[in-house]
Amino acid sequence: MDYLNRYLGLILACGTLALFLAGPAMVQADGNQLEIRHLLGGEDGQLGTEDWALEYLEGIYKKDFPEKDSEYYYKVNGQYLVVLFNIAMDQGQSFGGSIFEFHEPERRRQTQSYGNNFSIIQQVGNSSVDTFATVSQDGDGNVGIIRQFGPH
Amino acid sequence: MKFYGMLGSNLLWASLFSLFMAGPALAQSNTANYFQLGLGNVADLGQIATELGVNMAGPLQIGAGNIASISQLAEDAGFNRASQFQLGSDNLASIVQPASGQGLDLATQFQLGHENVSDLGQTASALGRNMAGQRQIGGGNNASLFQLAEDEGFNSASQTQLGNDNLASLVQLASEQGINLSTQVEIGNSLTAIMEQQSTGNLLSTNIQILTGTNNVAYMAP
Repeated sequence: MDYLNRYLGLILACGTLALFLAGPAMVQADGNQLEIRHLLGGEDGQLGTEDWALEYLEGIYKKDFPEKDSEYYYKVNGQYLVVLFNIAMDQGQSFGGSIFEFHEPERRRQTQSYGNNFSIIQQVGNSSVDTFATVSQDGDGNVGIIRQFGPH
Repeated sequence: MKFYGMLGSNLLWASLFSLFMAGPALAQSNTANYFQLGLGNVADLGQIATELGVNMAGPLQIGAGNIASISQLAEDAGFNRASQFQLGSDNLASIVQPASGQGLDLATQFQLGHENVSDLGQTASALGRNMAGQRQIGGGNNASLFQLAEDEGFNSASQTQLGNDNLASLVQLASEQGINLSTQVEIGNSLTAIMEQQSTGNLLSTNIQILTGTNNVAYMAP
């Protein structure tokens, strides 16, 4: 019994630590809703199909965001527009969306430019999921709207 | 018996540790940033956080004729933090922050240019705290700030304007042992400074107005 008593504290401490470390990973981003709508002036956006662009972008986002739900690519006037939906970190601590353009010559993502951009981001988090959003716009006549809600 | 005593003691500490670690995770946070460069841009942000929730916003606009508006609601010890930076002329910045249940509002507005307008409104109830700062550099600027704190609320506000033909207005209301602290500093000519504080069962009110230059008007109604 003395032997058990001696190591009981250590066993319980290790168990508590294990529970603490496992806790965040067990949290799922259930119930999250993220809506990003981008209204494009002039032409309607069409889904980008170039494999090299998709592979390049997915490589970036898989590195930055281990778990992602969906991405949409639009090509307008030679520019790619990347819209991200429901990016949930594996520990369920944050998710968010961003809108970028894809600069073809240099194969890099960049902020919106050329003006007259309209971006809406709506995010709904829950008690264990934070929301994060960034809108970067370059040019004149841009409108950016962000709505973020906590648990109801 | 010794075994069960040690078991109970360890379980108690493990439970307390788990509760301590689980506590901060309950706070939900919303974070948003805007970066807009150009003319005639609009940045509009609405955030709601509940139960120790945290809202943070920091729009940056460079150009003229830009509009930045922020609305933040925090409930039950919520925390609102908003900063607006506008560089250029003819810009409009507005912040509205209501917090309830020991909520805390922090707001900062900075404008560099001419003919800019800053509006800021904060309300806090039940031990709520409001803190706000407005800074404008340039001529023909207008800054207005309103704070309401109820039931031992706390208001703190400061306005600073550098330039000519500027207008600064500051109104604070507190009830039931509320505290109002306010400071206005204007440097330039043809300036107008308005400061008004009202409270019921007030615990403390201090206000300071400093104007330097010519053709300036100062109004204070504590």
